Amino acid sequence: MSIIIPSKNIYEILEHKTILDNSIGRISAEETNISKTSQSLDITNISIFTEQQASVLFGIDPYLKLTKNPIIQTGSKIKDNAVINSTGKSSFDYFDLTIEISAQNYLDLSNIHARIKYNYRYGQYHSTTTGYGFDADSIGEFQSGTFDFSIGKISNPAYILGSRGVVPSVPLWVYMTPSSGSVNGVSKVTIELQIPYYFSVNTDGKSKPDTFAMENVEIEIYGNVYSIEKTITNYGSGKTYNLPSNELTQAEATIGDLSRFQYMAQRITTDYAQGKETMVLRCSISDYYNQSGTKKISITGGKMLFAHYDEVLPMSFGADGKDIPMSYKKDGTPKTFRVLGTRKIYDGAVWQDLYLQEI
Amino acid sequence: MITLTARIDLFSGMNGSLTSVTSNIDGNNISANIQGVLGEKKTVTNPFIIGVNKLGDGSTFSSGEEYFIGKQLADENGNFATPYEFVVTSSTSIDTLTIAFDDLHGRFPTHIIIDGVTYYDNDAIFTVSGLTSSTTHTIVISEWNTKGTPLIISGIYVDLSITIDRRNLLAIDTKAIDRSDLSLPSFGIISNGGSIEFNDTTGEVWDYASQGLLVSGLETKIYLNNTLSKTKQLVATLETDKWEYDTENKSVRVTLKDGLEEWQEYPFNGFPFRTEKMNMLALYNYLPMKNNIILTSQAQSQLANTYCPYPNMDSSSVWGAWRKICEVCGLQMFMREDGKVVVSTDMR
Repeated sequence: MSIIIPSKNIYEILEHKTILDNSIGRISAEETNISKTSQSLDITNISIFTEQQASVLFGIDPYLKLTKNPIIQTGSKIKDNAVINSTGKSSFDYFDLTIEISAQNYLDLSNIHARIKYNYRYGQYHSTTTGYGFDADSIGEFQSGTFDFSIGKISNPAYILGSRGVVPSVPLWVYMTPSSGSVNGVSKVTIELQIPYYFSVNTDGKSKPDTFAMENVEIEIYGNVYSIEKTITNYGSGKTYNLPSNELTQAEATIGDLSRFQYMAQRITTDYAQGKETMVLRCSISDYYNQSGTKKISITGGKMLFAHYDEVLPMSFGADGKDIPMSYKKDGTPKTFRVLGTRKIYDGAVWQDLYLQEI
Repeated sequence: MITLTARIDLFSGMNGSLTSVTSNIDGNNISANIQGVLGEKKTVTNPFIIGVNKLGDGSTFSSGEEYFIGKQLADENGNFATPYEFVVTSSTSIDTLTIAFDDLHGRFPTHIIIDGVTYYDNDAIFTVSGLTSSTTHTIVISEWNTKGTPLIISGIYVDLSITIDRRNLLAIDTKAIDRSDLSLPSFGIISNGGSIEFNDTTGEVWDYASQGLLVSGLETKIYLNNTLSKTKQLVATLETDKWEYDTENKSVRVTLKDGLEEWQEYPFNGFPFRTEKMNMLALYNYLPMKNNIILTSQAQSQLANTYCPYPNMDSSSVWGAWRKICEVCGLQMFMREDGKVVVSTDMR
């Protein structure tokens, strides 16, 4: 029930827009359309050792720290923390591949997968001397292959080359940072391929079982890229209200059963079809009553002022000196208003301004 | 009488509170309800509590108020035969003190020694900041600006505020509205503000300005008071923005802003792009400052019913993040008069 604002309490009508040219018939919005494409993002060929270098590796003194001179292709960089310890166990090379995504697109990290082609060389199996291992003087056998795997979810090792006892068992690790979510713009996805090479020696210090070196790796990265486009969407006709837009105002967004745009457009054009009468009233600080005579605002305590979203019925002097509603609807019923803002003023006396919009 | 009053807190509570004030005269605690410690204490209903009695409420020296009058009168040169020494003790270390003397008659010490450092005073309300932080401070007063009159202390404070009422108020203007155009729907976030103008006849505020205490961001509360019914209502909770001091007319103007405006200065790291459809109520829960927000039931329903297929938010200010979620869901956000942030909807 509305609170009545008697005419005697209205000190001044600061603004009163009764014309209806503020009706809204057309809604326009810039929406975001997002489309998904699956595409190859990066192909990198990494030469780790030349065939000659790989061969040389089989002839070096395994007790010495290995000095390598890998050949790295553009687009990759090596983070070498390889160490050969005295007992000759294993060591790794790490290669980072960096994928940059344009500011307009997003890369879904959960869908990244890769194909790796590899060539590696391993020592010849030597069973006559020790029953296992490889011939100390062999320059090694050559093997190549291809495997696919998803790197969105990390599981190590991602792949095992060969199998122990026939050819060296070579675990291959792949890491991705970040490992989930999505990236775009200046964000980068770093894919780290950990490539092992093993050197070990027999107790006689001569033979080198389990010896191999990766010569070459070729990596292709595939992923889902989400491309973003902006489109203008319109609804209705007449005076236009532009809905604000941002990255969340997407064409496929929904409110309830409708698209977000449809929902907003229909609600606004319905609510504002006839326009909204508005007014700003400067009112006295006083007691105010609702239409049934109940005091709703009291200067002696409790709620002493109008507040946001109060429903009010402003009055004006009628011809017979009695108060009548300030505005009427087309059907003749009094217009009620909602308080959308308040202002408190002291300029020698205290006033409250009410910012009202027709309900 | 209906009037507006305002209170601007220069310090509030963060500096601890005074627990006692003792003097060298007889060692009694003058904050206790004991008469005659420093001289004469007026006998009234309520005990005088140092640091609690209010300044600037328009009745400091009216009948029924309490203060201390020293027994000694200042001699021809304004000196007290025995300098007064007070030891102020606080619950936690403090570095700021305000001492109110006889502001009715404009009587005050010409200088005050605190912790061995001499400060010169030129009015009845003395404020010092930047003391060495401690739970005890020693105050020595030996000279008085008016010969033949006694020392009067009307209060010693840690909390410090400026009270603006009908004695010194010139104008108040404060607004809280949820949109910039009354005739249109409103989606997003809006901040409000106001201003206060008042006289500084005692020079109290000038002292604060000299101390560098009049800064932006001081909490300011404005009340509607009915002096007849002794009732009041909070009508605005704002923060100071810019101060202007008119030295010729001894008047002060301070513009006010609401707390939402500060959100433009707080960074929000963004929300990464996702390919899973997301409810905006879930995204709402990722946003900072939500604990201070009143979410209307209609707005909550709107958030819960709005789904975004590819949720993502670029890094922005906290203000920007809230603006986006309000825009997509058809919500509006503003700060109410009581300082509470409201998220509501125009989509009724």
